[in-house]
Amino acid sequence: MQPSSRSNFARIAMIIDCFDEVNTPRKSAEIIDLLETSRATGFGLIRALVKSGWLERVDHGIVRLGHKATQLIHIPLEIDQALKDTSQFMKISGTVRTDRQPDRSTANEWRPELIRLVDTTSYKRPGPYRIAFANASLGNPWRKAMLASMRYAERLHGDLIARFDVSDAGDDAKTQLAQVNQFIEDGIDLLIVSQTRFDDKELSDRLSEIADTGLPIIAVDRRPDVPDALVSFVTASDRRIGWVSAMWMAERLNGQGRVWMLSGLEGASPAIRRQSAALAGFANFPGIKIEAVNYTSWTEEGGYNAVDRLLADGAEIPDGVWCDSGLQGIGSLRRFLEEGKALPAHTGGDVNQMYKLALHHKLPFVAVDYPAAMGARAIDIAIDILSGNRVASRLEVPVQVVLPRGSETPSVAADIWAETHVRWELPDNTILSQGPSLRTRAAQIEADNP
Amino acid sequence: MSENNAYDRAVAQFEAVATAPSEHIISNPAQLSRQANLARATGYRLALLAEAQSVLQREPTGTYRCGSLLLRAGLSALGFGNFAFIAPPLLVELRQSANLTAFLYVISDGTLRIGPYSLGRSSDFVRPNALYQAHSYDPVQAGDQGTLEISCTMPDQTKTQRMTILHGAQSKAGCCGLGLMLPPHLQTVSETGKRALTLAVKRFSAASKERTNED
Repeated sequence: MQPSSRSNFARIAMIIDCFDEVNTPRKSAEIIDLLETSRATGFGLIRALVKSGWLERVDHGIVRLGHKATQLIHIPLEIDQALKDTSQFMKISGTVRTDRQPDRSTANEWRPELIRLVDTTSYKRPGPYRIAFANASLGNPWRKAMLASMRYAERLHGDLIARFDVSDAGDDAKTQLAQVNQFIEDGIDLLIVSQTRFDDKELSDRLSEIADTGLPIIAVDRRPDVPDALVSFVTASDRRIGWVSAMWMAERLNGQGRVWMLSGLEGASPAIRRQSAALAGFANFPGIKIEAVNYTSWTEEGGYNAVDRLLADGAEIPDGVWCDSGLQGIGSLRRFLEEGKALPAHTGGDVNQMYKLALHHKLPFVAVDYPAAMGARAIDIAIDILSGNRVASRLEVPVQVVLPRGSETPSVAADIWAETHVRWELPDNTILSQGPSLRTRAAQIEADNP
Repeated sequence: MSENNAYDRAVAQFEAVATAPSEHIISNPAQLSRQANLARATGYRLALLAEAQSVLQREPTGTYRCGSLLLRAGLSALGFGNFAFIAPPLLVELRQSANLTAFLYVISDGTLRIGPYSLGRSSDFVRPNALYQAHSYDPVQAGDQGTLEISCTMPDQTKTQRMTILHGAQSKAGCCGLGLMLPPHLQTVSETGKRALTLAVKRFSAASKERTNED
């Protein structure tokens, strides 16, 4: 038997994962074959797992998952807040609302794709894999953070990835099409795409052609208008971002007031969905008047200019500014700060600077972070597909509602307090939802400034 | 053979790493090493391995939590592995709709066990305990669509937790469904919450049937 480079930790994980959904007993010899290790090591590990209760012996040389494994069902699906430091998370006397209402009827839009599994056995091939990412752009800090998250996952999967090539289309559909064609010409095992424009027919058609040749395609963040071409779509609930932020603002304003809406990039699928969900949320409050809807390209400059134009046209400072991200929210805030008057309530998180500004100026705001960590999940899904594991047709990375203490409204509760979410020690353009790649960056800064 | 050989140690390390996030908030490999009582270098190596193998998963904030491999193994060990993919998105959706802690329960060998859960927020925050194992409750019949209130008493008899559960699916291993935990200030789930639960269970049942047919 050729010695395997796998560690015993990885072998144990493989043993625990090799039983079917009803825990059908398996022969020890059969399990050892999966491990690609010596019989002595395989039997040694199985004996140790039986001894500790992870496996149980049902007959001579036949085992299945044991009582210790049954205890694993009790798992939180998100961070378990009960374990958090109570002084930070629970001791908020006087600010907890007990009159909270469940979300109103259209708060959530269930997507059956979330529990629809795709059989990927036809895409299974031996590694290491060549993966390419046709990125819409690297034009703002969020997109850079998503790429950092992907790079983190690339390192994590180490020897399973031979190459991970990335292109930057600069939000230009024609450039992206050329880059996708170049990837195909170079020869790849899987394509990840974040499309410049949802309605770009030329690229969508090309992706359909590529999918027909049997090459698996995943979309991340921004999808094309050809769902059948995709094996999976990794995203977060844009609807929830739009809805929750609109509900918070309307309730914060007691259902009365003038609101300006600053959306992201015109034509990009997240911007379309967030805006439409927010408009549906505001529609529940007849006293809320939407005075302006502008696009900002998800840039600070775009946010600043949009507010500047409105003020220059003689508009009065509104009661609220709905932003689908803090990327443009920062620009909006900066422009209002120049006015030197009371700041209107804002929405939009993502960027560290948005939190810093909002907390510093005691601004009423809600942030629903769009997780840049979805980049790493896209790489995980890519590995799963090429390994022949079933994957969900749509995977939503949870979004977190971030509020300053005392800012909860009847239907919007905080997942995390802004005061604990902000990272005062990190640069302004840091994206806080990028997962462990942020830690790497934090560690880097600490190393640079011992 | 030694009582504590290399394989026993490997299993002990696996267990320490896999269970560490259920006891403490762990934000980086150094904390994981400390929590699992491992040398720093070993802890770093195992943290990366655990994440790559889906034994652990990391939140967008970087915090560790138990990964999909463990959830799948736990449910499979009880014969309910079919639900490992279906339950998580449904539970998160249910929690968001009802604003209460939502959970999957399974009943096998006459015992109700609380499975994966999505936590409610702020005042509706209830963290279910793994020891909520009800042995005496009205039997839930297959196809039962009624909501029922049950009490689960902790072994030390000091805590009783009210919850509303709704039967969702029947398998060879027993039956299972979804539920909502009631915080102390609530006597009952609101009508909106009940509607959300009914809808989630309906989706859960349909998806379970689909999966069973596929298999």
